[in-house]
Amino acid sequence: MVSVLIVEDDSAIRSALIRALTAGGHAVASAATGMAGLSSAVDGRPDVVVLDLGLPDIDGLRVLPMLRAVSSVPVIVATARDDERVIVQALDAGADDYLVKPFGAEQLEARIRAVLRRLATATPDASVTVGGLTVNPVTREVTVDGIPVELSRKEFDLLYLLAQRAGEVVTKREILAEVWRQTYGGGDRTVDVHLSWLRRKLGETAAAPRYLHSIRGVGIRLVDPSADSGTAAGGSASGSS
Amino acid sequence: MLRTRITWLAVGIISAVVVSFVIPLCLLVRTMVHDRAMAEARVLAQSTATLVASVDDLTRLAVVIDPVIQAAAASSAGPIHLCVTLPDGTRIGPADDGFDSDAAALIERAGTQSASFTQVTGESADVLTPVTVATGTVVVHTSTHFVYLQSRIWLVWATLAGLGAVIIGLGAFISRRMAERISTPVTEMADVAHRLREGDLSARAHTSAGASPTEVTELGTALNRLAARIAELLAGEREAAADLSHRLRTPVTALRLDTDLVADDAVRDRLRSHVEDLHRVIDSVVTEARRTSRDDMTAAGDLASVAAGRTAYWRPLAEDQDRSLAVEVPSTPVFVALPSADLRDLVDTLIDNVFAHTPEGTDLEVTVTATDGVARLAVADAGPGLASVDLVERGRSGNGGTGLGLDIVHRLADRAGGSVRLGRAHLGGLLVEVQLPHLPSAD
Repeated sequence: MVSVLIVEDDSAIRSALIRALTAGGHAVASAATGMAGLSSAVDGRPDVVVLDLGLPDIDGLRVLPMLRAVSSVPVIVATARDDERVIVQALDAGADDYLVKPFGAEQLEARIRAVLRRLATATPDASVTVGGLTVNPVTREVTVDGIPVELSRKEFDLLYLLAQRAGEVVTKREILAEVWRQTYGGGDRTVDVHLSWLRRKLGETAAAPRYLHSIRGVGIRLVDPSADSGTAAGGSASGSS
Repeated sequence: MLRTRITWLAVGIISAVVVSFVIPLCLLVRTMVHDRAMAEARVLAQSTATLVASVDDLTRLAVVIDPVIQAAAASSAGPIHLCVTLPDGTRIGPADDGFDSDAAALIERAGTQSASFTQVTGESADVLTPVTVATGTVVVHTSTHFVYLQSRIWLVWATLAGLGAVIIGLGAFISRRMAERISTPVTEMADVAHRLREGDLSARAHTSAGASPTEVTELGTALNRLAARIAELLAGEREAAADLSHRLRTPVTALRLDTDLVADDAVRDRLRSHVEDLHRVIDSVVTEARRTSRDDMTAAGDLASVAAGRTAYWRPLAEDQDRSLAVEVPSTPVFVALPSADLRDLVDTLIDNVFAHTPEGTDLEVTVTATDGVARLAVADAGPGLASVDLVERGRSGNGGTGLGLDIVHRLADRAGGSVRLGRAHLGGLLVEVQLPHLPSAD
């Protein structure tokens, strides 16, 4: 059980979040203002804080450094502004992750899990290795057979997501939600284009894949090319609901 | 140009003043030169007459007179002819030189008179002085021909004209410098206005008092206030767009979270799909609101470089899908009245449409041309053309699944004063051609 503190001024969202997270088996506390949130974060010692940026009393971007001064609790920022600058500011101010409204309960839970997992595995070497491919999320460096590969931000995020779940089929919908924080998918070639670029940079093509295998109509699976490719496709493709 | 005009105006005024002084001065100089020569001729005639009267023996007169004649010919006031006619008709001095053909008549007339007289014509002045001696009347005739004086008059006139030219030149130089003090700040302000139009909202005119005329400084201050006001309004609009995003997304978030709690799977999925549609519409509304507040100030973007950049972005996917992506883009900039960000959306949407509505392996072609003031962006594919037209048209009307794509293209084309045409591509599939007015350059 994870204890979550929700700092959100909109009562409808607040109660919806409490209901959703409680249903998911979490202990949930909530605050409607930045000041109340700060004191709850200090007194209640939650495992994770979900912080809305648009608070009535203090801007969420100013709550972050105050919170960071007294606590190292992981913070997921929820914002209605998908402005890149705001998100970068929030991450720089100490947020661990972010969500753009509107989002679903599953997404929020996935973020909470991811943040806590990162916290648990925050060892000096957190890199993921699949065959000759090494992805280091701390230094954001990628090597293939020891040779460094230059990736753009989104390309890195995409590869890291796939590498973390090596052998599993990851749906494009999941990728859009995880990497692009878009809850609605479809009609958009963004993932495809980035995958193609990623293939180029890893030195492979769709016709002759090594690490990145497209499963038509389902998603993408990252595999270790040195292992036998005849193993069953990952079973956790979570449909397209 | 303002500076040239002011300079020419000043030169015109100075020239009028100089000419109105120089011309009377030139006439005055001529009269003075003539008068001086005449006065000299009179003095010479007078002194010669005195000399003649003092000589007893007229036969010796020639010897006395000759040096005087020489001296008179070299007079500082111009050459003066001296001729003395004795009572017996003998002449001492140069013979009639042809200029005064009526000299004989004049001498005759002087012989009958007792008083000296002067005759002035347009070409010469003659002074005749009769001297009564024992044997009759001796006529002393001095004459000066103006034609001999003309060269000195020309010299003076040339000097005056030169001086006049120097004054005009100096005037032109000074007025140009003064005109610069007006025109340079005005040009700078025009530059600031251009930069503002291009979206550089930090552009401000220099308004240091004293450097330029008060009116110009005032204009600069007004321009700066206008720029500040524009920046303020744009910031307000951006704020409004951000606020709109916040106000729309907050209730949808609550809705989205609550749909997760619906127990019935079928109903929950339907609700989620509705919320996603709503989300998409809100995204496009917010994007559109932001677009307006962003581009009202920025004008031009280079269609050629954007098209080249975006096709390079799409190329790996085209290769992975076995599509040949032909790109024909001029190497020179093709400026149109849309900022680069919107041009990117335009090109991306058109290419995305091809990828969305044609099977893998379908070739496509992106062409940019600029002729006769029209920039054309054409995206053609080798897909099942008419079916694509249907899809795209359905997209335009907004009730198709992926919907909003071509709508954005139409809106962006409208904004830049252009149009969108759908047709059959020579590759066999759909051709979407966007025509936009070609701006001469983005100076």
